[in-house]
Amino acid sequence: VSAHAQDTRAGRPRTRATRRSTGAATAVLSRGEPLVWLTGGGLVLALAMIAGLLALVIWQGGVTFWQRPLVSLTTSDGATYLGEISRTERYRPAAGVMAGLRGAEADAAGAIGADNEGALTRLLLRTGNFELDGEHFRWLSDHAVVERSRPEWALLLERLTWGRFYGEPVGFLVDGELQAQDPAAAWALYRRHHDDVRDRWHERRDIERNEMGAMSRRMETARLAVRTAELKAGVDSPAWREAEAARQRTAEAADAEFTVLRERIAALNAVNDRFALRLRTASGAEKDIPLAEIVRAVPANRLGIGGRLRLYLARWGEFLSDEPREANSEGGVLPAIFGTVAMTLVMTLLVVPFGVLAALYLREYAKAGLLVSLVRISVNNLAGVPSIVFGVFGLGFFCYVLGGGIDQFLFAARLPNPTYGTGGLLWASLTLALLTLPVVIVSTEEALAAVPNSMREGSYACGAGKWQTIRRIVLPRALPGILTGAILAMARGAGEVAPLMLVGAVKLAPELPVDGVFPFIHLERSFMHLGFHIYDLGFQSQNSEAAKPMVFTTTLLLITIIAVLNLAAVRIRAQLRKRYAAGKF
Amino acid sequence: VLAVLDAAGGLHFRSVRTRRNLFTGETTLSLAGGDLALGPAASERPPRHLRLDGTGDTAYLVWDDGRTLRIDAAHPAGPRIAETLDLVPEAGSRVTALEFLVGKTSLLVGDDAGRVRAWYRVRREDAAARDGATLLPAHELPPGAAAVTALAASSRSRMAAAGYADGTIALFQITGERRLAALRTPDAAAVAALALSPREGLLTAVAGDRLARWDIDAPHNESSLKTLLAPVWYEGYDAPAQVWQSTGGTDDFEPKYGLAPLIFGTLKATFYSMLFGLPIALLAAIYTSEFLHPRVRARVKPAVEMMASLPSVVLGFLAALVFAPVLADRLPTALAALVAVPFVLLLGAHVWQLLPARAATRLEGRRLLAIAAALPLGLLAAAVLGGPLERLLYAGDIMAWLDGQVGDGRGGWLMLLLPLSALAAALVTTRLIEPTLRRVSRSWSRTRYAAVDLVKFLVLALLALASAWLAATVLDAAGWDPRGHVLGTYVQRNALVVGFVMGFAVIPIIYTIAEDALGAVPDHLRAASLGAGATTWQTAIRVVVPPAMSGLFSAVMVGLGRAVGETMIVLMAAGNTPILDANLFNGFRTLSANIAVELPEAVQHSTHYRTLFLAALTLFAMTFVLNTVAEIVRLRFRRKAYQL
Repeated sequence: VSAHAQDTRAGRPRTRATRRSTGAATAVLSRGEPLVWLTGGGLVLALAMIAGLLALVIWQGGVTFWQRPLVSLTTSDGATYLGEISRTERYRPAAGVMAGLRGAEADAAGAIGADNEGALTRLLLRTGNFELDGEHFRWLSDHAVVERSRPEWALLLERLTWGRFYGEPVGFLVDGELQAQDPAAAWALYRRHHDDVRDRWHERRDIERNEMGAMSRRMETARLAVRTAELKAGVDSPAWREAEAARQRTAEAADAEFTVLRERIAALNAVNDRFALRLRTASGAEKDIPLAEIVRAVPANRLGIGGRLRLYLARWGEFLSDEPREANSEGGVLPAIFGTVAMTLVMTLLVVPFGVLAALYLREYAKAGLLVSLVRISVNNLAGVPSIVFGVFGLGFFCYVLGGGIDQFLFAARLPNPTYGTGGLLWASLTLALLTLPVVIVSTEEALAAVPNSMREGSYACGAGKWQTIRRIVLPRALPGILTGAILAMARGAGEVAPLMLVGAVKLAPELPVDGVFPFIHLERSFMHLGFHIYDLGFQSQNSEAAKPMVFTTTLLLITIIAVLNLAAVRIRAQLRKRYAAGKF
Repeated sequence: VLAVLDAAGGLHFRSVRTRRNLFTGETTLSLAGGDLALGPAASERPPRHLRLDGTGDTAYLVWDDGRTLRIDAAHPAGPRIAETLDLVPEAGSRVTALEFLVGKTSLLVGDDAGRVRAWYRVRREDAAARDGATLLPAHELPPGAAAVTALAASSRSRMAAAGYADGTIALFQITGERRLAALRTPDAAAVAALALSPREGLLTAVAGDRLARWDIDAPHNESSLKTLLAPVWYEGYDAPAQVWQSTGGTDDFEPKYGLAPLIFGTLKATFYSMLFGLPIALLAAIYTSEFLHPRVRARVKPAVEMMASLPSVVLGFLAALVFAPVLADRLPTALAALVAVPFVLLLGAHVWQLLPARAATRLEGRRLLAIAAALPLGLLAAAVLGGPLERLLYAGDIMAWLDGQVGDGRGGWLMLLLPLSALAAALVTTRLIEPTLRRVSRSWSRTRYAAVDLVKFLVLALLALASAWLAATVLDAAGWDPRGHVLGTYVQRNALVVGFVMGFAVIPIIYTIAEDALGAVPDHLRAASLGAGATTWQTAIRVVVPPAMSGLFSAVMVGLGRAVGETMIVLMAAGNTPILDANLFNGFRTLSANIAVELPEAVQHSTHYRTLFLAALTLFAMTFVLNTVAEIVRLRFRRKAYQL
């Protein structure tokens, strides 16, 4: 009351008015409706952006593999194009273009312009046939298209090289002889032979990869033995001579085996080369495509809903289980999924023990004081350090200092090719482990703090020691929180890309980090990563238009993985809570 | 090219051409060229030096007293005098040594007072010379004690050595104007000749009758605090500049490690993303904590939190490949939306006020739906207004307008001033109009007041627009045009795109921490306030927000830290051009993106590699300060919250 009186004496009319008036103004103004609407607008905007983003990714990623009809477009200058429409857009024609049009084209352009405020529309047609036209896509203005049709026998080929091919089957060749004359017969022959050809192709690839790869490894091991002997005992020492002799024996044996394998490959190739499909493109050119080159042929306009659905699922299957082709813009992302999972697992194995131990010490053993609060501030600070800085640290310390040192001592024979002295799975996992350490420490600490002290005291009262109490009473109760932290760390680690660019993620890894060759897990190998795959596809691809849908699909996959991890964290937390809630006393 | 000066003062240029016939293998030599009569000036007192530069298109005649003729011999058939100048402007001083720097376009001049200067030939618009170039004294090196008697330039970097008459030798880094070493010949005799080995490992000098030799180990000498942060005059530039350019096409390329453009880029990205993300995040947090039904809050908050773990590579990709093209296509609409969305929200609120008191109370739970409906209306309004606005303000083509080709500066000023005038209008409302209105409206009904309030809002909005337009006209008439400074040529990947998308990336973080801080304010405070008759809004703004202030501040700090260090979004959506340009519509490069782009290719332990580590350290220091401040404030807040 006295403050009020003072206010009044000091003569502050606004304050007085606020406090005294009970009229209409207060009734309206006190609700602050405009500002409440602004705050609500902020929330709605944030939610709308989140929803919009997810919807965009899900929609774009979802439709990538849905086969659209193949259209044949004839333009006013007489050229015909066959392909899929990937998108349409409005554009402003350059000055004088509209005036230069004649006849029906001018009418069409005028009509389109009238509908679009003077802008014209065009469509991007995926025409493929790169080796014939030198382009994968072509812009066509809508007003220039005079005829559209959907040819019944239009065929889309997904190939091993050169990207897609669009055309109509006109014949099937066996040993260079034309076996079928019409599309239906050619298609039937294709169906009969294609699976066998693909099987032979897979067999050939397996020979190349497994058996020839094993051979190369044996030769490399022998070469390294020679080099090791050279480093240890010098050139021309007995040990060196022995190793050199062994190397020569291996080389001779390998040469013989290589010849056998090459013959087998040649035989497989010879059978495969007998079959080819002859296609006629929209411009009338004919081309024979060997069946071994064809991954999949789709008569898109003959497919019903069921066929499309099967194709859609088959493409998703290929995406999830196959290797990339065509500079990553076709095929699958299995190595990237594998790399992401392997890296995240190794990272979790590294970060969880350290994080949990650190949190245990901070919460259960350390005495609260300046040092502990300094450590806490540092941990929280670590959480805010930009990920790229972790990457720089990882490259400078792990790769160059640690890795370089390991190479000097253990892999001297391989130098100057670095083994551990460059980016790799281990270093990437370690770097991300550092990055996610605060997540684990903070959530473990929170979980430990949530264990009621009465339980600890009860345990002590029963005569248990400190470690017994922690192990039997505290840790089990804190487990949900610890697991949540671990899963959140995994989610964070799986989505982080910037540091990986420095410590080991690559565009295309020739070998998986885990395989059947001793020691089975190759921590020094560089790997592919879904996040890096997105960056690489979207920004470093030569055929960026064709890569774009794949980026959306990969994005969808990555977001799904991270969302699943996050949801798993929530579920596990809830379930474990329920289980331990029963034991509450 | 050969240049010969004869005793009669005639300067002759001959260019030698060797041609090899591909079929016969025969080689033919041809000689062509021209002459220039310099007359008695050159014949009576012949010049001390005649030098040809690396490409052979410029010759220098230098007399003892510093008088210099620069001859343009780009066409050897017709050489001409490009300019006359004095290499030693100080009266009475003489040129005692002359040498080319690596690349052979810049001159290193030593005089009898011990000064060494580097002269750069630069192209300038205001150059007096006929070939549009001029020779400028770019660097003056730390002086020596006696006359310069010998100069030697390194053949791989901008390192040079100068020998003096008193037997001392100095090793310089030209661009950084640093003296790397001061040496002394054994018997203090004048240095007669100097040579630097091609790999910069050795320096030899002839002094008196002895030959002296030094090993040089001067790693990273091109880099100093000054070259990293201050403008530096590089060869080929017409003035000191702050440049980041780490690789070049030629052998005599000089790497330029100015961190300023990168730090500027980092700040630019942070500023615009905070400008967009901060208000939305804080407002959303306040609404979630104070106005949302707990059941809805329990669903909304985890949803936003989960967005915090959305990989930034996804956002970057969407920004660059989806958002940037759309924005470039519909820029006027996007700009209009920045104004139209808040306007429609405020308008909606004023209309909502018209509801009778009981209806308003009953419908309070549905308010968020009404707000959600207002948002698309705002966007729709922006879409409708975009085209006409472009025609009205930006001469029908905003890209050309930004480029400075069409239209005048008023549209730009309006864009910049409208937020200010809107703020001024808000201030006028609360300070002047509302107190008056309160007095007048004592006997009015609630609805009537609300109607008047709506009219007041519309009038003020119009007034704000009009005053902004007036100010824009005045500023434009005064000859100031915002184009070329904060606005300018549109590049598809620019600060606006990054501002939007990175703003979106920091929203979840700021939102989560801010909401936690608001939620930590004990409920008994709210209950007391509401019990005393305050409305929810009054409680929120006067009771809940003040104690949570330090928590909100720490949220902002953490958000800032995230924005400073964010890599993938700027890497993909900012265009990666390391330039110092305030233009909202231009690209930039941040410290983080620069590291991501260049570190994988940097040679280990090179100056480039170390500079990138320094960039990482800078980044670390920036976020360290922000995070520590946030953490300290947060701890204090927590202590305070316990006391409440």
